[in-house]
Amino acid sequence: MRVLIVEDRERLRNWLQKGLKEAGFVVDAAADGKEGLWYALGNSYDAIILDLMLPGLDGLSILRQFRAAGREDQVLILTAKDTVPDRVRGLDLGADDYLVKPFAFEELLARVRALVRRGYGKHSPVIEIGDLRIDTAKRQVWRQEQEIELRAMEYKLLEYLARRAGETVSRTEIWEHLYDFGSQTASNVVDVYVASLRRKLDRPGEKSLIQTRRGLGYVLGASS
Amino acid sequence: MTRSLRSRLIVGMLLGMAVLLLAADTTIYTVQRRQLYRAFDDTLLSSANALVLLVHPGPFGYWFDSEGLARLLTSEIRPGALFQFWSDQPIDILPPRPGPDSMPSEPGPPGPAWEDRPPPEPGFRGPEPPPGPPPFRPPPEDAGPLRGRAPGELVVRSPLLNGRDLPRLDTPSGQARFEKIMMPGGGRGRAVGVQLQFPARGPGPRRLPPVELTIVVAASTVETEKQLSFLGALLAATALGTMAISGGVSWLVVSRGLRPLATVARKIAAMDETGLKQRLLGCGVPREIEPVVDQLNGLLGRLDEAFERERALTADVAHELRTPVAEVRTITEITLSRQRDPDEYRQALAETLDVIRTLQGLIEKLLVLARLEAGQMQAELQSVPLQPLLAEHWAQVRNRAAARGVTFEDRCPPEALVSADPKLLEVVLANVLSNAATYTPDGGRISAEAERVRDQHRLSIANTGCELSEGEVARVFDRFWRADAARGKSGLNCGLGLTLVRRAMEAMGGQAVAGVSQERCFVLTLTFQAAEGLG
Repeated sequence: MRVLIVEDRERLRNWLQKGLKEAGFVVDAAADGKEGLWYALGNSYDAIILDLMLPGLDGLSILRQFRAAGREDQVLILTAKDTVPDRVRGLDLGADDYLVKPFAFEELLARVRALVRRGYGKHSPVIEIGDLRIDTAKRQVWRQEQEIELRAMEYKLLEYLARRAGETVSRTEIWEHLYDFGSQTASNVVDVYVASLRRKLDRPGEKSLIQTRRGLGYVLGASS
Repeated sequence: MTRSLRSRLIVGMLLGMAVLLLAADTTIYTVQRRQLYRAFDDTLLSSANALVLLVHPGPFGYWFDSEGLARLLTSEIRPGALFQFWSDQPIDILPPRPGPDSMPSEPGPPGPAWEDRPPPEPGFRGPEPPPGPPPFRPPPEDAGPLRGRAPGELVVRSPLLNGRDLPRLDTPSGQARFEKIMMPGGGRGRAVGVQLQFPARGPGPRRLPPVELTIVVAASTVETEKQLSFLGALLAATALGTMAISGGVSWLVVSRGLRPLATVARKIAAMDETGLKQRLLGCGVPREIEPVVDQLNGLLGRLDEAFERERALTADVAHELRTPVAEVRTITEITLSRQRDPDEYRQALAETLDVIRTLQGLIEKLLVLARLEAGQMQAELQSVPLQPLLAEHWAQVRNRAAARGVTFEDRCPPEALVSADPKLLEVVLANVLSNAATYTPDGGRISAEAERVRDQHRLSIANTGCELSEGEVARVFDRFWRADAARGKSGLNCGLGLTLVRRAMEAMGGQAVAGVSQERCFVLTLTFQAAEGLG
């Protein structure tokens, strides 16, 4: 799941980036308002963490322009402004959540996870597709009550496909949600991870959980 | 005097009105009274003049025409008037008509109106006397008093007197004298006295001696007084009525006029510090209250600005304090979330320490600033050499500046002695140099010079590469104001440094001014009092 942090305090930005990466997110970070808006409009994020007092362009202006562009990505405002009018203004401008500094990092993570779930129209942290079960809070995967160990990249791919279960997901979309802006990765890396996931999840003699739609992409848990 | 504006206005108005009414009514009453009495006196005088004409010269002396009197009583004499004649010579009272020869051939004595009166026309007969008073009957030839010869003798009196006397009013000949008298029948009245000299007439033994005649005519003034008191009562009643009605009307008018004040008061009462954005609308407010409303609006505006500044400051302080705390907490929580290498722990601790230093610097600045602004910090001025302190504080930021290729040019003369509080001066120099070291672009230059202007030292600290506009330079002393480019830089700068510098300079009796030079240098000029004066 890909997250954008727009925060002007360098130290806080770096540490948030580090913490979110360790929690399994793909993270982009912007240091000022204009850069933040450019990132937000140019990529698809599962959640955007937005500071309000930013040089160049303040957080509320970013939010306004972002929503005016018709973008529906989940936005969490993370700011030291704690008054009720500030919160109301932020939420009314289209923010999905509001967290005041200083905050507990655990809470920030939980809120971002909740935003991601909501972004895919789900409320439960556990995704079940047939006998496949994914606990997105604990980042654990079971198939037929048997836990399956996945590498970080494999888990990210599976969670993304599972969140969009039944839909055909293009390689570009997958790539965008698995890698941050600065990544320099070969374009066939998605296919490599799909192959390794299939090896771990599928059983011999059964139809693969992840189906290939030739020329379009992949689909998990196809009805057919 | 009551403190109610309404009562004052009304009482004042009524007082003014009372004075006005009193003056007007007094004038009306006085004029009316004079006119009434003048008319009254005129009738008395014309009655007297008419009576004078009843005295004619005859072959045996002057005689009184009693028939003429009877006629006059119904025409020319004021009705109800009383009269009385006195003469110093015997006068005949005769009913017969005087012959044409008996007309006075000489002009009468000098005097007013009666002088040129012609004698009664021969053959003229007045109407019969009214039946009321008994017709005048001439007394017999030898009737006592009428034929008497003593001076001041009574000749004839009004039948209405019924034998009583009128006071005899003596007056210079030919003049009339008016008096207030008590009427013989009771009641007040007015009388006119006229005295006439009839000259001697005729030759030899038949010569008529001169006669001095006194006539008094009086009438009761009771009727006139009644009229006057009625007029007085009418005027008083009208005045009181007018006062009462205008009192009521002005109560209504003043109440209505003061209603905007009550409205304004209600609006003010409904305000608290959260409602300072509202203004008392000027519409519908009378011109007289407009200045008050304008002033109040101005006051509200200033209060609002002050509150707004305080709110903004609180928000800024909260923001500036929360952000470092958020950093410490985030660093610590993320670091603790899993097992890490010692290097990672070391890195996290170092960064935490950095943030804590920032926080400490911020808190100290806030405290000093708060004390300076609350007046709790008194500057203890003494003579301080400027240059060594400048060098000392530069040494603290030298490494940081040198790392970015920033150089410092100290042109401050070593002999410059300023009047300053050493502690505050340290705060000032530390902040100014730290600011300069932070905001001067890489490879830039910082210079310090001091010049003596009369009894002041001006220390100018300039750094190259200023990107601030004029408007932005004006704001550098605002609390927590920071040029955009400055945000995100690490270090102790938190938008309080220059505010503190200015306050500290002011506390030391100096000042701090910021400007941009033509070479795009940011120049901060600190003005100190020269120390020589302190001895």
